[in-house]
Formats: sequence, C-alpha cells, structure tokens
Amino acid sequence: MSVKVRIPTPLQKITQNLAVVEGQGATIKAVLASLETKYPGLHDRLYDDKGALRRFINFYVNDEDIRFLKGEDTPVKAGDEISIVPAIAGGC
Amino acid sequence: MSYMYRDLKINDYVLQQIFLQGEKAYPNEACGIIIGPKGYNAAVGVFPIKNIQDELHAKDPQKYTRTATTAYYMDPREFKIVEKECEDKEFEFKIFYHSHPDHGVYFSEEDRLMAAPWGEPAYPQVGHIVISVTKGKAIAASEFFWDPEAGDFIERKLLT
Repeated sequence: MSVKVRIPTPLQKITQNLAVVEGQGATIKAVLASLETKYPGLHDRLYDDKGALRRFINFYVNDEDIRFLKGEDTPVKAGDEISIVPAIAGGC
Repeated sequence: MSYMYRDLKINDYVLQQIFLQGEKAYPNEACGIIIGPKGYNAAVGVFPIKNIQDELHAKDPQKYTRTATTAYYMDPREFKIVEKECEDKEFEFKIFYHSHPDHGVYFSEEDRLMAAPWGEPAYPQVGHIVISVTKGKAIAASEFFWDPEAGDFIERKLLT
C-alpha cells in the first residue's frame, strides 16, 4: 500500500530534494521503515538512540498528530498523507 | 560573527500582546506565532498557541522531562490551524515567540536544538522572540534570527 510522506526542508537532502515521497506499509512504523531502504540515513534523523521517535518532531496522518492517536502504530491506508514536521518548542 | 541586517518591523501593539500573554501564563512559559503579509517586512498579527509541555510530560516523563515552567511545546493541532489560516489569506509566519519565566532573555541550548534540530533551522526565515517574565512582569525581549553565514542565531534587542 502506497502512502505519501511530506518531508521537511532540512531532510530533503536525504530524499534527493523531494518534498513528497512514497512509502509502503500499513502503519507509520512500517512506512518509515520502507523509506529507510530508499533513503538511507532518514531513520537516524527521525529516531533517537533508544529507538523512539525524536521528541522534537511531529508526525501527522492527514491533519491528525499521531501522538494523540496510536503513535508509531497508527494505521494508514492508501491515499493517506503522512507529514513530518519539526516541532516549535524549546525551554529556558 | 557576521552581521546581518534585520528589518522586520514589529509594532508596539504586537509586543504588548505577547507581554500580556507571558504575564498571564506565568509561572509557565507562554508561546505563539506572529504573522505578517507575504513579502512584507511587517509582523502584524498575534496567534497565542497552547503550550502542551505539561500534557506531554504527564504522558511520557522520560521523553519530556521538563514541565511548562521551564519549557514550551506548541500544540501541533493549533499550529496546523494557524498554518492553514496563513496559507488561505496570503500571510506567512514571521516570528515564533515564547517566554522565559524568572529567566533572562537568551536563546538557550534547548531553544537552539529545537529550532535547528538537524543543524539548520526548519524555518530559516522565521525569527524567534524570547521575552523575560520576572516575578510575573515582562521586562525584556529580543529577537533571535538565523544568520546562514554565521551558522547561528543572532540577537536583536527589542526591549531592554
């Protein structure tokens, strides 16, 4: 199953300057794994050293933040769009 | 350090709005977005955004170690709404702002890490305003904007 994934500008150097790429899979996790085979290095930018999605990135399925769905296990279907968007966050 | 001219105009009303929000949120951090018309160096509209840091901390304290007194995390749902509003009305993001309760005006390591998560900013054209809210009163503000030559954020003082 093919799903569109929107890539933020700083990561487009890994995706051969593509802002939108196609991934395969039935969950966010599977789609991101499929992208790593096409675009090596993407995984390390998205996951921390404990294997969790990095805290400063928001992942959306269509317009829903997956943090408020089922996280990486959020199901996706053909025609859905995943967006990878850096969070606006910080602290003193 | 290289010098880069920054001529974004931020009117007093806009600054006043974010000061009031910072004071209201005290002792927590406040945050939001300032927008302006595409192609113009003017920041004219303020969109306060909910700080969900406490929500994230409650859900996953290992990953989100800080609370809202020392951190902010813009609500991604509200962020999306403002982004869409901007696109529809030919506006664009000019500034992301947040407050430092009982801390000074500076761009912290955490601020830098979040603003440029892979070594370069995700929104290079958007400045960051930091305001200091000390004992409940907004007392100082600066903008920090990305200078690609320096590869760093440069401070422009707005109120000292």
